[in-house]
Amino acid sequence: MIELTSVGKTYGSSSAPVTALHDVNLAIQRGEFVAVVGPSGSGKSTLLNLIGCLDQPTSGRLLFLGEDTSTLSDTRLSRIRNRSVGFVFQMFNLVPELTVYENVELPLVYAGVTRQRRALTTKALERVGMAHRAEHRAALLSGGEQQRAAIARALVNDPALILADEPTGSIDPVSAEHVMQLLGELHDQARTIVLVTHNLAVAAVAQRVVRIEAGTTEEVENGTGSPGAPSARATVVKQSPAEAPVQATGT
Amino acid sequence: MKFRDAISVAFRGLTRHWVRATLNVIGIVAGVASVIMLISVAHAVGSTSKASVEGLGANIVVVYPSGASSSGIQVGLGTTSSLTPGDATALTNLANVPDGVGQAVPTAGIRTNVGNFTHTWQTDVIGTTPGFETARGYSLSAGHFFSPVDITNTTSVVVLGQTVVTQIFPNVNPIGQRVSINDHLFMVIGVFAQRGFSGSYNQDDLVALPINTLWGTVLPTSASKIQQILVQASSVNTTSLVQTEVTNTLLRQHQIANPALADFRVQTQQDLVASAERLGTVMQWMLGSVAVIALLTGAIGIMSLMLATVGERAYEIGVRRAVGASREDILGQFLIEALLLAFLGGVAGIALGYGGATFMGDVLTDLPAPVVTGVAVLVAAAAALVIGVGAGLYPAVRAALLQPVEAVRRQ
Repeated sequence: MIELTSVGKTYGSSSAPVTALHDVNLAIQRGEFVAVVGPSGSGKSTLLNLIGCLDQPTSGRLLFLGEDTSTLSDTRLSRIRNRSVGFVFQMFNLVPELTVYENVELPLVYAGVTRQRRALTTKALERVGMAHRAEHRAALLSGGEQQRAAIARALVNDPALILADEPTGSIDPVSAEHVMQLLGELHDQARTIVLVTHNLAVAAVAQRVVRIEAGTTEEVENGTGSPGAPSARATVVKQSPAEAPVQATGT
Repeated sequence: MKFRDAISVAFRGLTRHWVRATLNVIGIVAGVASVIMLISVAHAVGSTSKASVEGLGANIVVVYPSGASSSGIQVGLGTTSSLTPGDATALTNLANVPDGVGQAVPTAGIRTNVGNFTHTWQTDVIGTTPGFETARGYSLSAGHFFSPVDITNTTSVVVLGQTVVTQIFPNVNPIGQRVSINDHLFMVIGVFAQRGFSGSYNQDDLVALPINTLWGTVLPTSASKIQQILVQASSVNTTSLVQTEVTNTLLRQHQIANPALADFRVQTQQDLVASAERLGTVMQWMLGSVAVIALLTGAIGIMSLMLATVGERAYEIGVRRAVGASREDILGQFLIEALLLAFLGGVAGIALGYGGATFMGDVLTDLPAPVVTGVAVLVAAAAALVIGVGAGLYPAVRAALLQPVEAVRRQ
């Protein structure tokens, strides 16, 4: 579904570049539940943003459903984010002044859905147990509730891929458990999930764990890269028993 | 994204930030209203001065005193007093003009209060001679005009225009009544028939009295000073001939050899209309530029407000981009917001400008009443649109070009 080949990402000006990712190779199959682990600043979020077409690689190639994202227009990328990707962020990223309902229906608004909008939005809210909060302003909810609303928003357009960036990082343990349970359910419905976390207990829910570490020289299986490169690397540390071993390597 | 949704998203964007939206609208309202009011005032001043000279009649040649003779610097129209009663007499008997030049009618006047015991009204008080009635094309609806005898005897009599009658004798037959002008009493001997407006110039708002009487009572400080002499030609075709004859006669009368040193000016009504039109145009441009500056100030305020909005709303923009909004969607949202503001501000500004112009007309009775023209409204509406798009476009482009990932990161 997703295929990264020698993907690098550099931020900042050409005179003072900041390398967030360097030569990442990773393939994610349809229906996989992949956890990306690594310490803060290792480039996990950058990787997730690249996969979700929120950002473009500065080098290498990223195939999304077989299409090279670097060749796609902004409109096409926006369409991919809209139809095929659901984002769940650590800080929820709801529009604070809008109601929960208005936040959840946003992807449908941009998809041009009109007739079914109310039904789909309500269904998504019920799905995460937030229907009773529909008319509340997002900013007034607890962290756990906001994250459930964010999950409702991520799934309202029925995307094939759900990207979660530290979804439990800012909420209480009970809510965190609920969120992880929801992600598990979404995976059971044949969705592909990519979860970024530095919490190994959370990562344990995934079928497959990819380790990414900036500036380390850890040897990786199937690795072909040169040790010692000060770069982000992706490492498979756990393979799903159900899946054939897939290539997922850095450097 | 459906257009209807784009509108509602923009509308929600405004209502969520209603304080800012209100400030924006006020900026546009101020600009648009000032455009309408200034253009209306300029239009009124221009058309009134044009109408007042048109009211003179097409066959009229007007002589003004002029201060050009000594210094070569033109002093304003009618500010010096080189014309004498003798000049008027000389012009009455013009030689070399075929078939009938009427009388030369001298006038002097002042804008002042006319009243009785109960009412007062500010109007144009004009001292003149019996020829005024014909030269200016007035007729009387009651009583009679003053005679040459009234001139020689400096009789204290006046003839009132209809507006003056309405204002100070609302329920009384004015003939035989007394009115007071600058503490002098006059008897009303006649009333002009209604002539109505010429443009926005009210031709019924005047009081006429014998010119010698005016000098003796109301204007003792300017005694024997003539502000203009009206000479009536027999037809439009003879006006230029009369103009030449008047000039030659007065040069002889004033013993001036070089016409360039003349201490008077002779103009036909057509010259005067043309210069009044020029004056109106200059006024419109002048006040128009003031209005443009007001608009520009408003526009810059709106743009900086909108730019601040973009920075402040980067997070929201990022979230919208993450869930699938394209650059066009964001551009559209901010542009529609700006256009909605411009629309609201434009409508309110036109209403306020219209009300303000009317109010000015009611309060500042000294000035000609402002006339709100379709052009003024059109210009103001266009200005609102330009402000809206102009001030909204740059921030909208900035918003659209924001990288979604950077926008989301800024929380």
